[in-house]
Amino acid sequence: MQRQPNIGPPLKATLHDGTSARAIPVQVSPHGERLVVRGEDDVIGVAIAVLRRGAAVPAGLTLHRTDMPDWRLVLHDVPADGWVHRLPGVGRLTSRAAALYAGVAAALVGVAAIGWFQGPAIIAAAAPLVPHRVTEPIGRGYLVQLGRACEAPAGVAALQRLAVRLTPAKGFAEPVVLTVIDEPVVNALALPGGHVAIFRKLIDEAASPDEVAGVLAHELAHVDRQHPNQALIREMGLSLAARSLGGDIGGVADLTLLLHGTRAAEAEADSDAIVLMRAGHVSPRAIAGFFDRQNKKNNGLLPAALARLGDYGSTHPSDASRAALFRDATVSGTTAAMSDADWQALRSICR
Amino acid sequence: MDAVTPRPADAPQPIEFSGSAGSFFGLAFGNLLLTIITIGIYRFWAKTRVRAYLWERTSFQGEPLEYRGRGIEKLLGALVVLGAVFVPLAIVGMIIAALGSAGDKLLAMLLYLPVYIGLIYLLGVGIYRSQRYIFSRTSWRGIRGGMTSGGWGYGVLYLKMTLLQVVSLGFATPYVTTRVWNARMNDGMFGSLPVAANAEWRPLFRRFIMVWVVALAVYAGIAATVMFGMPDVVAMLKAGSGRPADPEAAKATLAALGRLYGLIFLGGIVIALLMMGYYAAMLRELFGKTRIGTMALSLDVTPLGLIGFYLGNIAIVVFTLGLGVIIMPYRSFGFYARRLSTIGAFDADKLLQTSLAGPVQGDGLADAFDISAF
Repeated sequence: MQRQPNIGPPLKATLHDGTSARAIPVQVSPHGERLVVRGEDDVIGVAIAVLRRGAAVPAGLTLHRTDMPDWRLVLHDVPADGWVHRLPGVGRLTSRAAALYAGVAAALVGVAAIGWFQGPAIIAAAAPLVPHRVTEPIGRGYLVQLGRACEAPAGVAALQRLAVRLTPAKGFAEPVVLTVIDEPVVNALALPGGHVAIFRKLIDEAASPDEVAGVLAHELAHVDRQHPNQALIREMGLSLAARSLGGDIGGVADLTLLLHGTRAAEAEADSDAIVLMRAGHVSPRAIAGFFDRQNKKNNGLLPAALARLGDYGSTHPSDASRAALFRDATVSGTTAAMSDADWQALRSICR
Repeated sequence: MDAVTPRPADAPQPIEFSGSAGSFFGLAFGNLLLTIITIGIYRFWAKTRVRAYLWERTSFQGEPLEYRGRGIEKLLGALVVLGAVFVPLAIVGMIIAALGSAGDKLLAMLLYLPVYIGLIYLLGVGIYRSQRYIFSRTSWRGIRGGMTSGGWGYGVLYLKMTLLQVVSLGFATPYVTTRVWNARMNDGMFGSLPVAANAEWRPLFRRFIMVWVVALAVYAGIAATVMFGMPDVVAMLKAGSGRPADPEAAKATLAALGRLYGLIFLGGIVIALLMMGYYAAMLRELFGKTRIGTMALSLDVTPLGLIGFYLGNIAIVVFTLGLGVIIMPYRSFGFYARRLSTIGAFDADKLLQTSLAGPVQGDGLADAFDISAF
C-alpha cells in the first residue's frame, strides 16, 4: 500500500505560522506523506493531505492548511512538476463546507419544490386565516387608486339589489362592497377584502343588465373563493424574495402588488358564477354574447396596466371558450336581471 | 556606495497596487454574464471574486493582502436580512398603507416616521457590519482584522448624526463625517494592533463653510435670475402642473423648463467643483489621522485628482454606453490604493493574531442598501 516515496530537493520558503506576522525563513522538503518544514531552530512535519494550493503571489506560491486557517507557507521556488502540483486548490471544499453547501442547496431546492407543487394549496389554506379587518383596508387602498367612485344613490341601490339577487343564502366568504369606477375601461376586478370594482365603460357597453349580472357573478365568485386575498399573499411572498435577493430595500419599503389571477382560478370563478346565476334565476346566455363582442375587439382598447391588473387579461381563458361555457349552461325560469328602472339608474350612476 | 541607507522612519511608504483595468474588465464581464443567467443569485460570488482580485493585487511591505470571504457567506447574510428586516418591513408597510386608505392619513404619515428612522438606524448598522465583515475577511501574512462590537451602538450614533445633518441643513457635515469615521475606525483591530482615528472637524470647517456659503449664493443667484430675468419661467411655475391646452403654450413651457434645468445644472457643476476642494481635504484628514498601532496612514489626494477621477468615471460610462460601469469597483478601490501610504515603524514580529472571531455570515444589510463601492 506504500506509495512511491515523495522525496525531492529542499525548497526555499517563508512561513507565517498564523500566530504572528513574523516571516520565518524555512526550507521545505516532502518525505512520504509529510512535508518537512525546517526553520533555523525548529522542524515541523505537516501532512501533505491537509495542504492546499493558494494564490500565486509575486514572491511565489502560497500554501494553506485546512486544519489551521491562518497558517501560510510561501514557496519561493516552485518545481516544474511534483507534489506541489498534485495539491488540491484552496477553493476545493472541505467535506464540512461541502456538506454545508449541499445542505443549503437542498433546503433551497426543497423550499422551491414545495412552493412550486404545494404553493397554491398552502396559499389557499392561508388566505382564510387573514382577517377581514386586515384585507378590507388593503382592498380599499387599491380601490381608491383605480379612479373616482360613482355614487349616484339610485344607481348604487340598483347595483345592490342585483348583488343581493346573486348572493346565496349562506352569504360570501367576506362581506362584499361594490363600487363603480368612472374610467373608460371595459373591465371589472375583485380586490382583497371583498371589494369589487366595475368600470363605467363596461356598463356602457353592456347590451343588457344580464350581461352586467354575468360579470358581477364572476367577480362575486372570486370574492367567495378568496382569490384576491390569495393573490395578495402570493405576490407579497414572491416579490419579497426577489427583492431581498436582488438587493432592493427601497422596493420593499414601497411594495406594490400586481393582482392577477391564474387560469385555474378564472375557470373556477366562471363555473361558480354559473351556479350563482342559476340560484338567482339570471340567464348566463347574455354574458356569452358579451364575451363574443369583446373577443372581436380583442381587448385592443385596454390600457396596458389595467389589462394586466383586471379580470380580462392574458391569464383568462380565451373569450371564445368562455362564451361557449356560458352559452351551454342551461338555467330554467329566468327573469331579467334588473328592472328597467334599475337598469336606467345603473347606467347613469356616474352622472 | 551601495550600502543600504535605512529609510527614515517617517518617510511615507506607498501601498502597492498592481491591478489593471483590462484584466479587471474580463473578470467583471464574466461576473455580469453569470449574474444575468442566474437571475441575480450569482452576485454574492461576483462581489467576492471582485474583492479577491483587488486584495491580492494590493501589497504592503511586498506582501499582498488576502481576501478570505466566500460567496455563500454573503448569500446567508442576504437570507438573514430577508427574514429579519424585509419581511417585517413589508408587513409594517402594508399595515400603514391599510391605515392610510382607511382614511387616517395623518396617523399613517406619523407611523411612517418610525419606519424611516428605523431604516436610517439600520443603514448605520449596515455600514458598520460591512466594515466588520471586510476587516475580518482581510488578512496579511495570515493575520486577520476585526471589529470589537456588533455595530448596534454605532447605528444609534449614525442616526443621531443624520438627524443633526437634517436639523443643521448640512451645516454640521464636517463634524458628522469625522465623528462617525472616528467611531467606526476606533472599533477596528488589525491582528493585535488597535486601529485608532482622531480626525478633527475644525480644520475642515472653514473650507466647508466657504463651499456652503457659495452654494447658497449660487442657488440664490439662480432664484434671482429666474425671478427677475425669466418672466416666462415664473409664469410657468405659477400656472402649476396643469397641462397647457394648445401646442404653442406647451412648447413655450418646455423651453422655459429646459432653461430652468440648465441653470440648475450649471449651478450644480460650480458647487461640485468647489466641493472637490473640501472633499479632498476631508479624505486627507480622515486617513491622515488614522493609525494602525503606531503606524500612521496618509492619503495623497488633491482636488484635481478627484475631479479627474469623477470625470474619468463619467467618460468611461458614457463612451461604453453604460457597460463601463462594471469596472467602477476597480476605479474606486484603485483610486484609494494608489494614493495610500504608511508612515512610521511597523514591527511585523510584534503583530500577533487577533482574538476576535469574525461574523459567520456576510454583509447582507449593506448589500440591501447597496452602499459598498467594491
